[in-house]
Amino acid sequence: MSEQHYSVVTPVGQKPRDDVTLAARPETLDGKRVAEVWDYMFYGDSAFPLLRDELRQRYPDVEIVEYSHFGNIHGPDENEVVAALPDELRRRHIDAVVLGIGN
Amino acid sequence: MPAVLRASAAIERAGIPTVAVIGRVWQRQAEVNASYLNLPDLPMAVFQTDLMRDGAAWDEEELHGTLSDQIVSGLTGTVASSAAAGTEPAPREIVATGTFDEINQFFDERLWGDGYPVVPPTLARVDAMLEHTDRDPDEVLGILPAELRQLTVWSVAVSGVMAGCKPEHLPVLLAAAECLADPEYRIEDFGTAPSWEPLLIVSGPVIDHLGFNAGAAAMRPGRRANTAIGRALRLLCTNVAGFRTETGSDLAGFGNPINVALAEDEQTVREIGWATYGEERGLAAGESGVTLMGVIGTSPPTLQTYYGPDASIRTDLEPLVDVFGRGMCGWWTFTGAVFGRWHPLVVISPGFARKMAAEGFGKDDLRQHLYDECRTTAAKLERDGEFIGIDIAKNVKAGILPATYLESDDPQRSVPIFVRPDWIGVVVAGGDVVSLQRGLMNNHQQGAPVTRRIR
Repeated sequence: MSEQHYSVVTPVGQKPRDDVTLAARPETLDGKRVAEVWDYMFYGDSAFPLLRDELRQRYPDVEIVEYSHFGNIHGPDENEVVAALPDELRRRHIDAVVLGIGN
Repeated sequence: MPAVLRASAAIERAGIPTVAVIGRVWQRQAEVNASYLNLPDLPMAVFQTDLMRDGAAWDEEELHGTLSDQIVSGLTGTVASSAAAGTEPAPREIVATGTFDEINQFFDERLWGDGYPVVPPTLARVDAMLEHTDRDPDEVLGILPAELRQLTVWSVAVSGVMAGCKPEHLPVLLAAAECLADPEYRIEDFGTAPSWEPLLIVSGPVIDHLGFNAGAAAMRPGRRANTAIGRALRLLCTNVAGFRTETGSDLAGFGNPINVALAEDEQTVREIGWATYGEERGLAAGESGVTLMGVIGTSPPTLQTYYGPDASIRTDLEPLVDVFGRGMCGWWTFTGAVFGRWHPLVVISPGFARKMAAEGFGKDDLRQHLYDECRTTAAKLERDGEFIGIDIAKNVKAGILPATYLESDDPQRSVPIFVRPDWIGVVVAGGDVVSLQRGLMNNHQQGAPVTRRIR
């Protein structure tokens, strides 16, 4: 007697179509406003000032907007903070963002 | 899913370029999640410094050198753009035909299982399960991170078939799936290193109707309703949410066994005049529902060890207070203090519940007793939570933590281990031979309990 055969479906959920692409990059950070966005973990308060100094060394005309303006992207109100970020960044005329730290 | 990646994707979608600063230990997970977010080329600057080992001691040479190079490279010029993934099979499309072993091998190779053999999800079996709901199979219950796939009535039924659920289990599983999709549950954080597993708590008449075990060995595989529904829920975390250790999307350090669904011994609860766990979670009396929470750790059973003349419920509880409260939770409490959320659960045996009730000691008394007796110092919280940026004073001032955490600025001041007594859940279940208790804990705000009525 032959063993029974089964025809099966996938258990993997459907992935909705999403045509997102990365944002266009500027050629240089000189004259641009760069924001810091932090998850308030893994000693970003030590790292960001050093990164800030380095970017200013490399691009004397870069303007840095520090992380304290944007809230904690991994805190109790993470969803609200992240949802509000795009508008807040636009309101501040931000051209690029450095996010950290860690995961 | 890493918080930095989530924010990065949201900002890129708004048309602003980003670069994510990621530790090398999280790099693989971050790359997988970027792919799930449909942004496989999301720029990252990866640092080698081991912050868990070295604390705040950043390698300044790396920071000023290669890390800054990567940041600049990620924010300027032209970025790569990989081709989109190919098409995937439709829900009712047959993806394989074979024997039981061949189907299981096919599923294993695609990481679609959990290590146990699965029941082949044939159209006939899935359709049989769907006969137990009048909901549209295509109804989307949510889009589950990390892989951002649709959780549908259909995908829940497929998972139920694979796990060995009976068709009549589907309404319970659908309610559980709704919990999984609730933002409060935070399935996006499922792949964190401490690793948590879903625990489903079943309430109401459905316990008897479907034959859930609420008695001896209530938390062990054995009864089909408890075991198969718990397993199906875990399979959804793999196949719809997309968390897999093999791909790097799940960084679970140790992981935990799959939890079977936990049913409350509501008969005992009613006999002693308490509210059921379901009623405490907002279900009406006589209404069936489920509560989903995450569990990262479980205490051993604790029991009465003192029988002297001063013995009371409070002395009976001392092992639970000591082992679960001050020991297990006393270590993990810094996470609750950072996020201001934490929802431990205590399971007590029916014999102990009756003993409590006889002494006029209710569920709220148990919660308050644990809250009052389990204390630590602010200094210990600050030390344990330093690496994730704990700041008790700031959290109190922001209303994230109760004022009791900041009654003085003395580092040695006593502070609660449990954030709020009413956030401690209490379920009566298990065998009736001895008076036992057991504690389970979630990971701060991750896996917070979410309740749904069974339709």
